[in-house]
Amino acid sequence: MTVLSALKTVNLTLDGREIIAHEGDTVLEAALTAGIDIPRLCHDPRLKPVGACRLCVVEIEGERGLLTACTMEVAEGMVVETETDRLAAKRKTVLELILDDHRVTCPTCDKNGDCALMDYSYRYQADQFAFGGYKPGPVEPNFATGNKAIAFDPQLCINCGRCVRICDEVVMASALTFKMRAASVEVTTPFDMPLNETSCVLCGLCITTCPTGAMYDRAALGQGQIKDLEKVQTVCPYCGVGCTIELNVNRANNRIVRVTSQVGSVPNDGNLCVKGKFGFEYVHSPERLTTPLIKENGEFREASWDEALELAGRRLRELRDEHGPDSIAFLSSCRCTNEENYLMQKVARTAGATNNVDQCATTCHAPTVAGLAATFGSGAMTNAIDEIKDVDTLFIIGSNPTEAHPIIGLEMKKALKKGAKMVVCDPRKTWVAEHADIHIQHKPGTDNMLINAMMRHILEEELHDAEFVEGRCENFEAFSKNLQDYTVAEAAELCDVPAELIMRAAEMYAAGEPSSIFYTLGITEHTSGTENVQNLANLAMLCGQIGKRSSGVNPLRGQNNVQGGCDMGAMHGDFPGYQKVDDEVVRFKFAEAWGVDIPTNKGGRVTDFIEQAGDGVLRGFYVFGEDPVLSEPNQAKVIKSLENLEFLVCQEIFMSETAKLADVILPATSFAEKDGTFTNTERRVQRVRKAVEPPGQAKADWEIICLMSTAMGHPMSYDNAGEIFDEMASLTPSYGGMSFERIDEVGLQWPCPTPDHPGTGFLHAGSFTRGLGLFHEIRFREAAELPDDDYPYILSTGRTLYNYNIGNMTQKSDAIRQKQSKNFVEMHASDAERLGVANDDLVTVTTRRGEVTVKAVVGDRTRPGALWMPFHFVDQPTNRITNDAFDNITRTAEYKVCAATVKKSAEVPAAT
Amino acid sequence: MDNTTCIVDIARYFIAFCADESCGLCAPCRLGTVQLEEILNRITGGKGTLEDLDKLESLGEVVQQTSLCGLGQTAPNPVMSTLRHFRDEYLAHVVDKTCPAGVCTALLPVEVTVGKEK
Amino acid sequence: MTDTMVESGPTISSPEDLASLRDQLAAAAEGRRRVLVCSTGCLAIGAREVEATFRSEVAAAGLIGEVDVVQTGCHGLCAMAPVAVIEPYDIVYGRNRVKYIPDVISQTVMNGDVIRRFCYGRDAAMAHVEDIPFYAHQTKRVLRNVGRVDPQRIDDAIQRGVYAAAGKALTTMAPDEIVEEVKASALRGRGGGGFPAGLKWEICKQNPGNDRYLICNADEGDPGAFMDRALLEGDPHSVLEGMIISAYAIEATKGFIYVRAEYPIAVRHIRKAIDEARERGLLGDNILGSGYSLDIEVREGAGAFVCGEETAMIASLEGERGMARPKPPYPAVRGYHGEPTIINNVETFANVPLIIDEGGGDHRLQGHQDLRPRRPGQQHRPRRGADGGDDPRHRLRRRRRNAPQSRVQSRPDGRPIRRMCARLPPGPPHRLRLAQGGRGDHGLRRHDRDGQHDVHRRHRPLLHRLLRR
Repeated sequence: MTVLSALKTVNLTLDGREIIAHEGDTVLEAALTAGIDIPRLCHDPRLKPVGACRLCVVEIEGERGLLTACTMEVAEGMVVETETDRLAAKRKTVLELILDDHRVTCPTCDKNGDCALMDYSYRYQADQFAFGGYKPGPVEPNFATGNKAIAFDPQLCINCGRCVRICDEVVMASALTFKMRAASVEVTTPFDMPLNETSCVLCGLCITTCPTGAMYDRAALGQGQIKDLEKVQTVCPYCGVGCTIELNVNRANNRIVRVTSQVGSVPNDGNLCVKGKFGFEYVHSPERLTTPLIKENGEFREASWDEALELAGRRLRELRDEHGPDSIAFLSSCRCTNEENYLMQKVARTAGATNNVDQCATTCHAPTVAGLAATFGSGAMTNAIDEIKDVDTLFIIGSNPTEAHPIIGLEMKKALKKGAKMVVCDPRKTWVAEHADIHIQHKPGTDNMLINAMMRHILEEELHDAEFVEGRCENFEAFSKNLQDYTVAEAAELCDVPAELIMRAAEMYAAGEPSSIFYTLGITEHTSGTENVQNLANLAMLCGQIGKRSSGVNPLRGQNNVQGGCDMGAMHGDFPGYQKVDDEVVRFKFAEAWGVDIPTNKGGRVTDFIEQAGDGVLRGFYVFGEDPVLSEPNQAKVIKSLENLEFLVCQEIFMSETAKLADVILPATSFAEKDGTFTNTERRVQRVRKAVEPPGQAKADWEIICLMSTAMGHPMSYDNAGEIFDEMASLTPSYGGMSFERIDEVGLQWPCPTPDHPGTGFLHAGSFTRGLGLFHEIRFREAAELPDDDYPYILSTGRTLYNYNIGNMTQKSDAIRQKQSKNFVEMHASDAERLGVANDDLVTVTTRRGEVTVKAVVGDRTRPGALWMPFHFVDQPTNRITNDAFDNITRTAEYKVCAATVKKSAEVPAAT
Repeated sequence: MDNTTCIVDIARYFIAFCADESCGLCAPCRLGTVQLEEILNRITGGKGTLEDLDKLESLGEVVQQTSLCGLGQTAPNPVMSTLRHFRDEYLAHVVDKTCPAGVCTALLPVEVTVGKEK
Repeated sequence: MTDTMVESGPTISSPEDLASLRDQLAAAAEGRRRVLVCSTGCLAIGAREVEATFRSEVAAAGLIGEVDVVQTGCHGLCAMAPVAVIEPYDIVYGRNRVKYIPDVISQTVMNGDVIRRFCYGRDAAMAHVEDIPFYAHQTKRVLRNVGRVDPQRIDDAIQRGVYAAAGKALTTMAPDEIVEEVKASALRGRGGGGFPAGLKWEICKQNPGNDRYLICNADEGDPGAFMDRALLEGDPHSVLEGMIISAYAIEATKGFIYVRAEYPIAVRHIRKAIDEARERGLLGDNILGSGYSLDIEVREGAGAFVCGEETAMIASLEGERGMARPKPPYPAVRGYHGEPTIINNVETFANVPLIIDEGGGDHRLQGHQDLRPRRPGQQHRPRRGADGGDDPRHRLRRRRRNAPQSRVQSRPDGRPIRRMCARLPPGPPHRLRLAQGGRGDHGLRRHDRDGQHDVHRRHRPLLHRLLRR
C-alpha cells in the first residue's frame, strides 16, 4: 500500500542528463517520464515487462552486454546510453528480422497511423527485404475467424505476446496463448477453439494493446486508416464507471469507425469492456428516429419540429393549468448529460411549475442516495476507483463487478494480484464469488439478517474500532442494543449459510487494513433497500473502515450518468447538489436565479407516476431517454397505466416500447452527437463531446428541452452546453469550482467548491459530511413476496456483461449479439433434473404478474430453489413478471426477490 | 571430429538445432537463428556467396548480443567460431563451390559417364 | 530386471546408524564375486540379453549366492559395449557375447582367468582396470560409484559411502559453514555457465523470501551430451546426497529435479532412489536425526531444449509455458514463484559430498596442476571419436567410416584436449581437427595448439581447431 511520495528517489544519468526516478522504476519508465522515447514493441505500462522484442536494449556503464531497459530496475548512480550507433545498428537488424516475418502492407493497413512497427522501422530505416522478404500464407482460418468483434491477422502478428499477457494479467481470462515454438510460434486460443467458445469476454484489450494491425476491430476493417480518423475524446455511455474513450470518426462519411482509449486515461487506464469497445453501432443504426412523430388515429405520422413542439408544449401546459401541478410529471434520463438533467428539473420547476421530476435512480440506487445521505450526510461512493487496487480486504455484497462494472472489476483484480483478501456475499456464484476467500451464498432478501449477525459477532469479539465509534459517530447505544436481537446462529438458519462463514467473513472485514465495501443493486433493489444501505454504512462505521484511503462504502452506480442525474436534482425533493426543495434559503436562491416561484407540491418518483397514471391522477407525462415499459416491474400494469394518460411525449433515439404509447415523439441525440458532461460513480465529472452529426432532423436533447420549455411558456435558450454547466455550477456548491475548461482533459471529483480546488478523492476524512456518522437500528424485514406452494422458487433479476439494461443500445451491435441475443433463465442443476429440463430447453417462468418462455441455462450458478434472469430483452421481457413492491423510502422496486414457478415448455426452440 | 567432418555442415547442424529449439519469445533468437540456418543451407547447398559470410558474422553478432537468454546468446557460437578458425573451408564452399570433407552432396563433383550397352 | 518395488530396510536415524550399516555392508561385500553389467548405455547393444544370460548361467551353474550379477551404470568404455566388470579382480570385459558367458563365468568369474578376446585391445595384458590406459589416466571422483553400484539399490550406495557426507554436514556443520566450504572449493557450475556455486548460494541466502527452493537441472539437452545422464542413471544417490547438503546450506525445504523425459532410465532410477531414500529416512522429515527436513520432487520435461535454461525451467515448473524470462532478477534473488531459488547442474551437486568430505581447499586442489588457482575441479566429459556425435543424421553419414569411439571419462579441467583425444582407444583418430569442448554446441572453448580443456569459458568458443594438419 505504498503511496508515491513514500518511495525513495534514485538518481541516475540518462543520455548525459541527470534524472530523478523512484525506487522500483525501470530504466524505461524513468526514460519515458524524462521524455526519452526508447523504442519498444512488447511493452505496455499495464503489463509486467518481459523483454521480448529486444528493441529497448541500452548500454549501461559497468554492465557487460546489452540490457533491456524495460526489465532493468534503476539503481543509484547508474549511467545509461539509450541511443548510440551500436544500439541503432542492433535495433535496425532486429527490426529487419521482424519485418521479414510480417506482411508489410502499410498502404492498405488500417493500423497505418498508429503502428509502432512502422514508426520504428522508419526511425531506424529498416529494410523489409534485408532477409529476402516475407512470403505470405493464408490468413484465415484462425481462432477469430467469423468473430464479429475481434479479427486476427497472423501475418501481421509480430509475436510480441502483449495480447496473451493482457488477457492473462489484466483481464485474468487467459483466453489466448502461444502454440508451437521457435519460428512456428503463433498466437491462438487453447486448442484453436473459436474465440466465442473460450473464456474470452470480448473486452478487446488484446486489440488495444496490439502494436500492429494483427488484432483489430472486425467492424473497423477497411473503414479508414487510423491516420485518417479523427479521435474525439468523450465518456462511455454505458455503465457508471465512466471510462474515457476516443471515438474514432471517419469524417468522409460521418461515421464512428471504432472506439479506443489511451493507456493512462482516467479512470480506466486504456481498458474497456465489450460494451464500451464494441457497443457503439447503435449510434448509426437505421432504426434511429430522424423526424418528430405525432400519433394520429393510432398511427404515427411525421411532423415538423414546430408542429410537434407546439402540440406537446401546449398540451402539457393545458393539463397543468387545468388539473394542477400533480397532474404532469417529467422523467429525466440518467443516460443523458448533466446539462440535460439540470434543464429537465429546471423545466419541471419553471415551465412545469411542479416538483414532479425523477430519473432512473429510483429504479436502482435511490436507496443509496437516501441511505447514505441519512448516515453520512452524502449519498455517493465514498472513495475513488484508483484506490481500489490498494484495498486490503474487498467486501463485495450484492454486486457482480466483473460483469456489471468490468473496469472496476479489473481494478479489483489488481488488488487480488497484490494479495488482497476478498469476501463475497451473493446468492449466485459469480466470478468474484468463485475467486473469493469466503463466498457467502445467502438466500436472496436476507441481507440485513446477515449484516446484523456479522456486526453482532464483531461487537462480541471486540473487533470493532471503539475509538472511531466513540469519536466520529452517534446513536451507538441504540444501535448496539438493536443488535442484541440478532445472532449468528439465527442468521445461519435464515440465510442458509454456515455460521462459521458468517463469523469468519465478519472477522476478515473488521481486520482489513483497510477494508472496503462494494455493493450494487443486490442491496438496493429490495423493499428494504434503503435500510440495507444504512446497515452497510453501520458496518463500515463500526469497524472504522471509512474516511480513509481505499476504504469506505462504495455503491457502484449503474448508468453512465445516474450519479449526475441525482446530482442535478432531477428528484422531487432535491435541487442540484442535493439542496433541499423545502429549505427556504435554497428555494429563494433558485427562485432568484430562475426568475420564477418555486413550486411547493411534494412531487413523487417514477414508480409513483406510473401508479398515479393508472389512477388518473397523473395526466401528462414528459418522458426523456427512459423506457419504463421495459425497466419498471409488472409490465402489464405499467402499460395499462401509461395508456391511461391523456398525453405522453417521449424524447428518444429509438422507437422504444414506451415511445410506442406516446402521442408525440421527439427525435434526440446519442452521447456521440452532443456536448456536455457525465458524472461517474466516483463523483467524477467528465466531458462528453460531439463526434458526429445526428441523423436526419434529430436535435441535441438539451436543445429540445429548451424548445419544450419555450413551448410550454417559459422561454429558455442557451448557446452551448458550457453555458448550461456554468449556470448550474453557480448554483451548486459541490460543482462550484468546475467548468468545461477545468475538466477539459481529466474530470474532477466533487465536492469541488472553488476554481482552484483540486476535487475530492475520498469523502468523510476527519468528519462526515453531516458531522458525526449516524448509526441506524435496522430491523430485518422479509421480502414482499416469498415463495409458497404455488410459486416455490425465488426469482432474482440482474445484468450480464454483454448487454446493458433494456438492451436498446447493445442489441444493435453485431459484436454483442453474437454472444447474447435472447433472454434466458439460470437454474440450478438439481431443480432442472427434477423438472426434466436440460440445458438450452425452453421453459416457462410464471409469477403472479405473468409468464415468459425462455431458454434454460442449467448449472450451479444459482442456489437450488432460485432462478435468475437478465432484463435485457424486449422479447419475453423479464419485467413482465417482476414484482411491483417498493422500498418504503425511495419507492425502488424489489427486482431481486419475487416468487415464481417454472416448468418445461411445450414449445420447441426456434432455430437461431 | 576429423577430416571427414564438414565444418560448415557442423555449424549448420548446430544452428538448425537451436533454431528448432528456440522458445520463440524474443525476436533475435526466434527469427535470427532461422536466418542463419537458411544462409548455411544455401552455402551447403552450393548457392552461397561471399556476402553470405559477412551476413553470418553481422547477424550472428546481433543474435548473440541481443537475445534474451543463453540459448539465443550462444546459438551462433558454432557458426562464429568456425568462421574464424576454418574460414578456408567456408571459402571453399562459397567461392570454389566444393566441400573439402566430401560431405555436402550438392557440392560433390558429379561425373556422368555415358556408356554403351553391351 | 531389478524391481521398481522398494526393498524394505531399516530406517537410518543418525550418522552413527549410517556408519554402522555401511560397515556391515562393506564387510559382507568383502571379496564377493560380482559381475557388473552396464545396463544403461549398453542396452542399445544387447546388454539386457547379456545380463539375463549371466543370471541364468549363474543359476544353471548352481552359483546363486556365490556370484552376484548386478545391473550397473556406465563403465565409460562405450566403444567396447556391452561392458561388464568382474569383481573382485577388477577385470574389464567388453564386446561380451552371450554364447561365451558360461566360459566367462567358469574361467574369469570363478578363477580370475583372463579371456583375451574380451580384453581392451584384445590384449590380455590390459585385462585389469589399472592396466588400461583409458582408466589409468583418470581419477574417478564424481563417477567413482558409477559402474560399481546397482543404482536401484540404496544399500550399494551406502556401502560405498554415499550419504556419509550428508550426515556430517547436517549434524555437525551450520548452513553458512557449508557455503564457505563450497566457496573455498571454487566449485563452478558444471552446466556450462560456470558461475561459482558458493557465491550463488550466498547471494540466494541474502534474499529472505518466504521459502527457498533448490532445483537440479537434469534437462541435459545439448546434442551429444550424456554426462548428467550417466550420473543419474549410474549413481543417483550421490546426486541426491549433494542436493540434500546444498538444500540444507541454503535452508530450502523443497527440492526439484527437472529431468528430461527422453532419459527414461534416468527418470526411473532417480525416482526409485528418492523413494528408497524416503523410506530409509534419508529424505523427508528429520533427516538422519538432524532436525532438517527436505522433500524432493521429480518433474519430467516435455521435449523442449530451452527448458534447460534456468528461467524457462522455472516457468515450466510453475506450470507455465517454457519461455525464458529476463535476468536480472536472477533466480537466486527471485526464482520459482518469486522466491530465492538455486538451480545447479547434476554434476555440480555430485561434487558437493566430495567437498564436505575432503574440505573445500583440498577439493580445489584436484584440478590440473598448472592451472590450479584458476580452474579447479574436474569435469567429466563424453568424448566422441571421429563419428561426431550421437545424432543419427551424422551416424548415417559416417557409417562407412570409423566405428564409434564414444566414451565417458573423467578429466580434470585444464588438461589439454589434444591429450585427452590422444587417449581415445584404439589408437589416435584420423587427423583430429576439432573438438567440441565444454558443454553443448555452444559451450565450446577457444584454444590454441596445446589448448587446455576448460569447460567454463564460453565467450568465443566453439569448434576449435586441433592440430595435426
